[in-house]
Amino acid sequence: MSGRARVFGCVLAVCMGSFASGQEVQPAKETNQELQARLAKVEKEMQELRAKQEQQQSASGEDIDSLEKRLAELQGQASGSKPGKRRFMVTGFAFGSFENVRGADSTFNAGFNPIFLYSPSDRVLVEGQAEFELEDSETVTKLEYIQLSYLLNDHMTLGVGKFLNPANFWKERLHPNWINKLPDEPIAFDQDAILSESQVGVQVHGVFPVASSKMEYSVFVSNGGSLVTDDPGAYGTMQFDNYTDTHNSKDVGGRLGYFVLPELEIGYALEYDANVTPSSSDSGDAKAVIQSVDVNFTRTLTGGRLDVRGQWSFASLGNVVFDPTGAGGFGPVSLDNSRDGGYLQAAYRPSNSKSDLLNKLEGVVRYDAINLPSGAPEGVDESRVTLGLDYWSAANSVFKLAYEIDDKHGGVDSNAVLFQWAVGL
Amino acid sequence: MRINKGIGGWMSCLSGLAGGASLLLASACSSEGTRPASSGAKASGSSLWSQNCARCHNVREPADFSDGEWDLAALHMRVRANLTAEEYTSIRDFLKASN
Repeated sequence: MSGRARVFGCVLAVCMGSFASGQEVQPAKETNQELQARLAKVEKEMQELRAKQEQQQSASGEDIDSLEKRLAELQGQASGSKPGKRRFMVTGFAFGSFENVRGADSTFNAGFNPIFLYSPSDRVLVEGQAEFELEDSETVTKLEYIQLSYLLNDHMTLGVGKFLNPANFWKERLHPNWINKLPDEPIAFDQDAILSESQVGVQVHGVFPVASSKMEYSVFVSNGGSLVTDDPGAYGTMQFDNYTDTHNSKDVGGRLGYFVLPELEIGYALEYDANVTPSSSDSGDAKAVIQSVDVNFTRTLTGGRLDVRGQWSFASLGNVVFDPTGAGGFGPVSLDNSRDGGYLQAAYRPSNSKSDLLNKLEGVVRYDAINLPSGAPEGVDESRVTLGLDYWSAANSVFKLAYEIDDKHGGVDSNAVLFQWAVGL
Repeated sequence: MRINKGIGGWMSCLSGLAGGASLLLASACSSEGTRPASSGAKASGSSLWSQNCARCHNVREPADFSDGEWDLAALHMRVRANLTAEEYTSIRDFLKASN
């Protein structure tokens, strides 16, 4: 019942009461005065209620006007920020590290590797990674890769540009500091020792079903690497920063990876170049054949997660004579130029432990090695065993502590204590 | 341990790779870039998310990124890790529904 109706009922009741009592008894003078006073009081209350109601109606109108105005503002803002087809984001990783290597000055280091992703449509992806790292007294800036990808169909993607080497599973998938479980990389894949980290060219890659499993593949054509022939400290090695082809002979290669189980993939990769000797060199033509095998196994067990990986690469770089005329001051000299190297690694994290500390720890052990041709000027065969302990403060943030036991065959061992904090962006 | 093979062997391997690629190229024009997720996308997306992402790195929490960012991050992983179209859509849809 509304306030007005209530007042009206009250007045009616008073009047009826008055009428009823007037039939039986003449009202006294005080009673009439009281009634008039009550009537005046009721009229006053009615006026107050009317005024209040009008005020409320006015306020409600103002509120509605305000809400409508705010709604229009929000609709304008939403319209202005409505997502379009074009998408852009920055991801990547960063790290800070410390190393104390026997026979060298201990040092801190840091790096920042932003990855820029841009997609103008569902089928196109542009990805580029910059690298900012501290080396000696300089900040080294590098374009790690820039790849333009087009999804041709469900099973095939076309990629062009400078892309991570598909024949080097370690570099293509596992090398970012927040993914690598140890502070440093395997010798064979660090500094392009055997395999390059990237290729400049074109590739097609993808995946297709095989029975109840699947197989991934990649095939590429690129500038490839270039054989070093004129450096007395590095002849016989490959210079992979061959951004402008120096020998007019393209590198072809690819990788096949088969999933034996959903958790187990075995891969084989091959790179071939008919001639990697620079056109300007007077050494003979050198054929390069580099092949790799890799295995990757991850499984969640009752107590935690097991991660076992490995990759080994074999390079055959021909048998040419370096500095054949002796003009370079170190020849003529030749090498049986075959080299190999790789790593095997196992890690276990008791991620299902009830202990908040234990489930964030991960133990890692890695064996890595590189074998060089006899007489190679850049060094000697080397193998290492690295023991590491990681603390995962978040899924993308890891503190890594490791001790590396080094064995340089015929050289001075350089055992090391390594620390690194890495974050995936 | 060293392996040396004749060039004939390498070319055979390469021919095999190129042959497989040709077969796949033949279907390039008729196939779609992506397939719609199935009705059970969330359930399968969850297992595919943990299975495929953990193959290389720790899985990122769905809440780490917005829907728009997951669109792009999932596309990035489809290209980088050679995910199938179905895996890609299932994982992407799961992450967007769970963030």
